[in-house]
Amino acid sequence: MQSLSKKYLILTLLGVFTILLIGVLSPKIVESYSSNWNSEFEQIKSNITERVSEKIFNKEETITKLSSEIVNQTSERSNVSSIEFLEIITSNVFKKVSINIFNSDNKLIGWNKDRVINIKKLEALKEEHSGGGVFFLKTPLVIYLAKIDFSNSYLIMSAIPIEKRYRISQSDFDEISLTKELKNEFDANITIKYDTLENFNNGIKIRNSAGSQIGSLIIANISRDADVAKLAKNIELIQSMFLILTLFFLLLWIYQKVKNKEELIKLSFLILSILFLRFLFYWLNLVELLNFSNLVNPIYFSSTFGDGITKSPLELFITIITVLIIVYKLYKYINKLSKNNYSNSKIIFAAILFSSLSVLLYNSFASTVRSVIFDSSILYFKDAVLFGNYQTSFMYLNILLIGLIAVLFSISIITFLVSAISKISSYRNSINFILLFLFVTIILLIDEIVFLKSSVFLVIIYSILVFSVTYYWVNLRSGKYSGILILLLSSSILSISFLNFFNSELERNSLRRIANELTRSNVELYEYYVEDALRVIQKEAELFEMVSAKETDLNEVAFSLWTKTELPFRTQSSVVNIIDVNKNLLGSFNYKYNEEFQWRWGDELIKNGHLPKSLYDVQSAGVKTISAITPIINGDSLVGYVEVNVRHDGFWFDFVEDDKILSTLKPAVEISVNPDLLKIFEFKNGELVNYFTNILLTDEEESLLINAVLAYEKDAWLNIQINNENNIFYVKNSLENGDTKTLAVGLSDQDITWNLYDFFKVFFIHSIMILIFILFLVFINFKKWKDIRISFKTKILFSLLIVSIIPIILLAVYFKGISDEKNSDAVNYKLGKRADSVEEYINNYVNASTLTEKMIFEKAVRDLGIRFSLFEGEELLFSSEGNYYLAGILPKIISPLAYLSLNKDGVREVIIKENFENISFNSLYHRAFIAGKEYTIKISDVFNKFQLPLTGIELNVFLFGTYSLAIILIIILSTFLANQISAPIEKLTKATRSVSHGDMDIQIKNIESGEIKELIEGFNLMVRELKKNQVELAEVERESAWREMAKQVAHEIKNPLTPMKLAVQHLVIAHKDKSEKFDSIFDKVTKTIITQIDTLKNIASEFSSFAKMPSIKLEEVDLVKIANETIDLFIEEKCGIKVDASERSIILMSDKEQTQRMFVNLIRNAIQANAKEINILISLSKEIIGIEINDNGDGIDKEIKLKIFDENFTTKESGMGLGLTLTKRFLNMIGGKISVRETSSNGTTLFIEIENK
Amino acid sequence: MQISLRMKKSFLKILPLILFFLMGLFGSIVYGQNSDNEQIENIFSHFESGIKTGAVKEFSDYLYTETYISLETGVAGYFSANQSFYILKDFLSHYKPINFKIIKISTNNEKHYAIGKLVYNRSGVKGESQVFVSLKLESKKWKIYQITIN
Repeated sequence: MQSLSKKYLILTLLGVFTILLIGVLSPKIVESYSSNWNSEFEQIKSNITERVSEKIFNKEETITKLSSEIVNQTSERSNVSSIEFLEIITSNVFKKVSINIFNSDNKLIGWNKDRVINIKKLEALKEEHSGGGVFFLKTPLVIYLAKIDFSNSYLIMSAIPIEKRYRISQSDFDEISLTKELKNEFDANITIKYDTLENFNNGIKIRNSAGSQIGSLIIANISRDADVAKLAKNIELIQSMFLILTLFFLLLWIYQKVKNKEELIKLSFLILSILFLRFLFYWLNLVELLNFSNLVNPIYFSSTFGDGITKSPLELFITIITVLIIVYKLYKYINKLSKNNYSNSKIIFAAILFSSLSVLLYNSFASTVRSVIFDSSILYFKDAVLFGNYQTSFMYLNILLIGLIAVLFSISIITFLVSAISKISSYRNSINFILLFLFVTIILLIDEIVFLKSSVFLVIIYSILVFSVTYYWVNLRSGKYSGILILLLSSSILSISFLNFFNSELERNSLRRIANELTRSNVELYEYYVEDALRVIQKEAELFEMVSAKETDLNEVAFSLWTKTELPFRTQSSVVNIIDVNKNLLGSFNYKYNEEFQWRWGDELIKNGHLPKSLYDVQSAGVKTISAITPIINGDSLVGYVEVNVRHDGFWFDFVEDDKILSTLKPAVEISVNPDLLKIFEFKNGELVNYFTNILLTDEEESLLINAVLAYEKDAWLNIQINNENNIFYVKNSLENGDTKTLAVGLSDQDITWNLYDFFKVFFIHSIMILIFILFLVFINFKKWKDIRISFKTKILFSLLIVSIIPIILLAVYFKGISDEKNSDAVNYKLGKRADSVEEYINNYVNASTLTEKMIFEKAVRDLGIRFSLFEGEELLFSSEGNYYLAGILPKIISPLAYLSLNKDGVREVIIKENFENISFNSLYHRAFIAGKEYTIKISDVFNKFQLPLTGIELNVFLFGTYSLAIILIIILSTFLANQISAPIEKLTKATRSVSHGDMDIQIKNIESGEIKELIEGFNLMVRELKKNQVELAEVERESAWREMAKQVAHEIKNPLTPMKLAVQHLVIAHKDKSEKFDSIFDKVTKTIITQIDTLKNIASEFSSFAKMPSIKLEEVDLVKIANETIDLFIEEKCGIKVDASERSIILMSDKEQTQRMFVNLIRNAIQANAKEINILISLSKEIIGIEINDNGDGIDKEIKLKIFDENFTTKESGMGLGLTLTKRFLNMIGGKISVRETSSNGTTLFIEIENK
Repeated sequence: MQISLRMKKSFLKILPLILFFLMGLFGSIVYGQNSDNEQIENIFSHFESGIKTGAVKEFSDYLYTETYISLETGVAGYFSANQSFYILKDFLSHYKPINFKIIKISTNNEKHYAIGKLVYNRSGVKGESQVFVSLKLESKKWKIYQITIN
């Protein structure tokens, strides 16, 4: 212990030294960094340049390798068909690269993804880059690293994306950005110019492997002061970290000093130290060291509780761990307290205090879980996926630990209360337990009903769960790991139940959130967004170049500009137009803004040539358009304008997007309920104008919503019965351009209530965490691995689990496979039917109508309600989603795989899995003959909604929910069965062990049947016989020993008696003869007699020694371990025996066997005195080792109290009364003593103290 | 006639009372409006000084239960008052305000809002953002419901 104390002191001093050293060195480091900052900055620049070269080189290598592959496969053939090229380049090897192959006429004959370059640009590039080196290829949406190669007369363009020039919803975006990668790695302001047109002052040339410059790297001169301050801050944080560590070791060192003091002092010191360290950690803001991580991001959780000690998921975790340690220490302390005896008044006071604590604990727990739900953007049940983002998983861990705190603290409180009550109550423990359960539940219910904090149901769940766990923990717990497992599982169930409840409250609140979102925007806000969009567009340095060069698709440029502004995310409908100086539209992207372009800015502006932004409002029936325009200029040169139009309609309804692709462009507000379940109605002056639901309201129901009694804030909550189902509605009134707008957002009660599937989703994640923790515990206890034996129970359990879970998993996989296949068939069928309809419809009209082709196609879309695209050859001819194709979101060229199947394999229809960013969808390509000409109709499920028997998500939900429930039930049942089957064998094993340790009083209660019954009966009989034989044998042995001893004694005594007799006879003769030598004979004879008497004395001593106790064999023994091993021998007794030690192990010099015998004697005595509970408390102090054995048996009568340690004293009918005497004698031999501390009719407390040498 | 005369007399007797009551009512409406406007201006003033000094605490009491926040960093969505406090605090600790001025306040209709200009220092580099803040009634008090910093 002293060495440990010394170690902490050394670590503390080392810490102090490090802090001082950092304190001394930091100004020098900062100063040196500051003075050498220029060279440091140059070094950073050099590192960045190196990294760019490395990245470019790696990509160049890939392109060259793949490009050469194509050349190798085709160079020997003078004529390669389009099909042959497609066969080569659609293989998986070319997945990373976009390949375009052109013939000598510049016609695209091979492609594996999309067309990356148009003919105009190709001509220019061919000249410039035919040398073979890589170069940057800039398209409006993507910048590629590209290479041109030739194979005979074919031109092969291979390109790898380097930078995407648009953005969409983050979750669906497959981001590619070299600039961002570098910024993240070097934390520097980096710009990459992907061309060689300009000479930049600070630019570093980016070269390809041939040595040609292909671009420039610009690293902004960051502020020296800011950079130096950042370094100083980091050093300060490191110093703070050492300060915390030093204080930690210092407190550990002090703790070693107070370790032997009163328990309360120790506990207080420990708690204060932990709180002090937590406070310091927060005060020094050490979490800033992890600033890069989302664990300190307040979006995922932040509460103002405790001035910020829970301001992020990580801070919450640290606070939870702090509280958990304190609660664990309190649990240990309260556990000890509950074993002491107190006066009745003290017990009543403590009972009131602890009951109040339980109310406080319940309320704190409920508030914490509520905060976790409401102060976080994580949708715990919607986002519940096993491999979700790490911050969500981290919050699940926090939730589990919050539950653990509540359960552990509840166990402490309940254990104390039960123990206190049992001291003043005459009822059995289990009755006291039930009484206490009722009492605490009633108090909690009263508190709940009066203050309405959560729900009565939650109170009941909480009470039942914590009392059940406590009962298990105190009375039934069999092993260390099973105890921890039950504790953690119950913590999980408790926390998820509360989480689920508060989540339903959040779901109700999401109705208000939706109403707020639908009424949030206004004209002023849109004006603000338009101004902001102009600022963004004005910063687009390459816009001038792209518009003036006129070789780029400006529709794609308009789309790229639009995505960079806030317009996609925050406005109802908008358009970005690129216009030339002659007022002609060059390119455009519109989002639900279906209005033809029209120049509305007059002639004056053109003359001006340098336009300020301007607003142009159009008022029509409450609809307002906000327009703004900015010139595209470079110096004095004007090449055109960018116009932004945004429309605001107070009664426009924009809730759920029609298709997945659109939803990536305009993500909806995150809410905790499934948006499809919502019922939204919008009224204008009492008339229904918009709705989002498939339910029609009756006039009466409409009237209820319109005439709802509103609060001061012009809103109301209503409950309305629709189709015999209760619905909760949030109604909100507002004024829109003088009209009254009433918005009602509702959800059926059924969709809000608790959901078993939701529960299991989170429970499953918790179970995985618990499993990992248990495995971790097993791993860190690896030293004890050799002691681990795979028990009979474990074998049965694993066998049952394997037999039942494997088929279940196989069934689930099989079922999923079958369902996926059926779904796929259904998709094919439904898309195919639509394609047939489109073909038939168009053919009918083409033959019998005067309409143009385009008009017929548009009519087909309208009349059939089918969204489709039409390809002529490989080129797109028409699409109902023309906007997507114009913007470059979807390729304007037919899918190469579809082209191959239709043209090479000759099939009529083919389904291809396609994707836009991270969204996958199915497209059916159907060969059609329209007016005798061949076309390809493309129909995608992403644009055409149809009902499938079970969608992928529904199937996963069903499989996951059902099979998780089944697996959990199997685990519970298997555990129960394994326990049942193995229990008698386990009993027999333990009883056999007891017998081997000399306990012959053991008998197993036989409630079994069949062979096990016979086995137990046989065992009991065997033990009884053994005991009988042992007694008889002992009797025989004793008789024989006595006989032998008598013989020996007689023999030994005989030996000196003969000389003595002879000597005396000699003396008598000498006396009779009056011999002259009588005196000398007398002397001689008496000497002989004395010698023989001494011999007799020695013989007596030897026999006395022989009768003494056997000698003891001193060795280092662990008292706690022996005590625990001993109580295992009494497992079958109807008596609860517990060992509680102040240390995990207490070592002393003793005889192991006799120490165990001492415990056996004392426990057996207590059991024979009808004790139902025996507590062995082992404590260690500097001078002594104390062992207190208290029981609740019959006690010892006053008259015999003093005699119990006397030899041969016994009150039992059988036995020799040597147990306590031997114990006392053994203790004397090892420097200990035993005494009766207390005895009454309520029980006895014996106390043993052994010198701590 | 007699009745109506009596009624007239009675009416004249209670006229001062009616006038007094109406004046009181009118006064309270005017006062209510004034107090509303004062409250709104007070919130915008606290918001301005809070953003200017980077002290979110100055206006955190005025945050709505669920505030819509959209920031230059890409953060956008509805956040609880607790979250909003730390999200804004976090933002302002990285985008250190050099100056912030509200340039337009509108309290004309139900939707009260203000637009301001924020000049900040981010890692030693100066930048500029537009700020939009609007209010909403909650528990009969005006609260900050929307903050957009682009």
